[in-house]
Amino acid sequence: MISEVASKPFARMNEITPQLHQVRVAEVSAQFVSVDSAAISLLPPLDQFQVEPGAHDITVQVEWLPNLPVDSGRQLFDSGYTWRLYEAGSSGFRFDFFAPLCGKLPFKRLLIDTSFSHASLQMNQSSFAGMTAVPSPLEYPLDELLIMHRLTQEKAIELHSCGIVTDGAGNLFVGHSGAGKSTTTRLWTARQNVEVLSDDRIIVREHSGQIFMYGTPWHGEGHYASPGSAPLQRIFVLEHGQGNVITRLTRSQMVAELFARSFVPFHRHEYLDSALSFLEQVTNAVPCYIYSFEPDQRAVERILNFRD
Amino acid sequence: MNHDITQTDGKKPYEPPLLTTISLRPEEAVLSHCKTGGGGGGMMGNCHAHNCMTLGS
Repeated sequence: MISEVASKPFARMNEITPQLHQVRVAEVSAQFVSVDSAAISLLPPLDQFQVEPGAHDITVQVEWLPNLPVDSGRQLFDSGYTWRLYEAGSSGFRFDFFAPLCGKLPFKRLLIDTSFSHASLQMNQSSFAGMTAVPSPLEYPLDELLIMHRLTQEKAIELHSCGIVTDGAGNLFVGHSGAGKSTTTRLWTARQNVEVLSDDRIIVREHSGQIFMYGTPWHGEGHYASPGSAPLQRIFVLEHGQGNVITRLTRSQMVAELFARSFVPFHRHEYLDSALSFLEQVTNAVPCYIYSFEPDQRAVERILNFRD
Repeated sequence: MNHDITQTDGKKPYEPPLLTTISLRPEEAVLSHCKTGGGGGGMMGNCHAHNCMTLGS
């Protein structure tokens, strides 16, 4: 999807008023500022997370450059397809983003400090030569990488999961691709008074001494992406099976199963320590189960009637 | 030496360490794929033309 603003040719970019957007995902606020009059836009569903500009955790200055300078720096991580991470000086990181249509050079670059609070996003104008449409600088996976890294500074973690709210309480269904998150979402949304915060990515974090789950913009097949939140009541690790069997996990099992389904920066042990420490905190507050389920309404009934 | 500890001693019975294998999906965990359409912009949309399969639930 390409927005109206983003689809304007480069020649007209200077006619567009500089922009400022602020989004909030799971209590993390990021402000994006255009520094060279070029357009930036919030595409759906990120636009649902837009808030009034104000106090924020991350500042990102967005600019378009004719070319991105060739940069050295030790490579820290290669995602294998869309992005690579490098050291940037002694106190920062450089994310380079790639796309098949843009050749071998990065089409955009994020320079950010190690506290993930100040960043510069540089768009490579030469990557889009001859194209009549350009992407939004904030498109996936930049937004998710930004928030995911910032969560290392908070008591929080992003989990591959769908979040279902009934009567104000949150049930979190965690699972790899194919485990049944979309199926679970479909079964629950067939009922009334059910809110889906996300059908693919949920952020779990502490807020005011309690564990909450938050919706994110990074949805699954059902396109559920809510900026809402709810107190986390139970966690279920999904697996396909027979008989809708719920099995309590020990705390160590729970940490391992959740960590295997988390989105954590793997390039620094401090970030892994932070994630594991928070998961341990979650195990103290929220019960966790393996849920071997069958894909029909009895699976929902089983959860609704379940008592710890 | 007898290592048996029973409940009658007021202690939990000995349980040997248990090794459990947890399945990882690194290709999902590192955000190295094209997300389902809608969240992505132009470049991610182009991914679909390059046989990058959507990873849903």
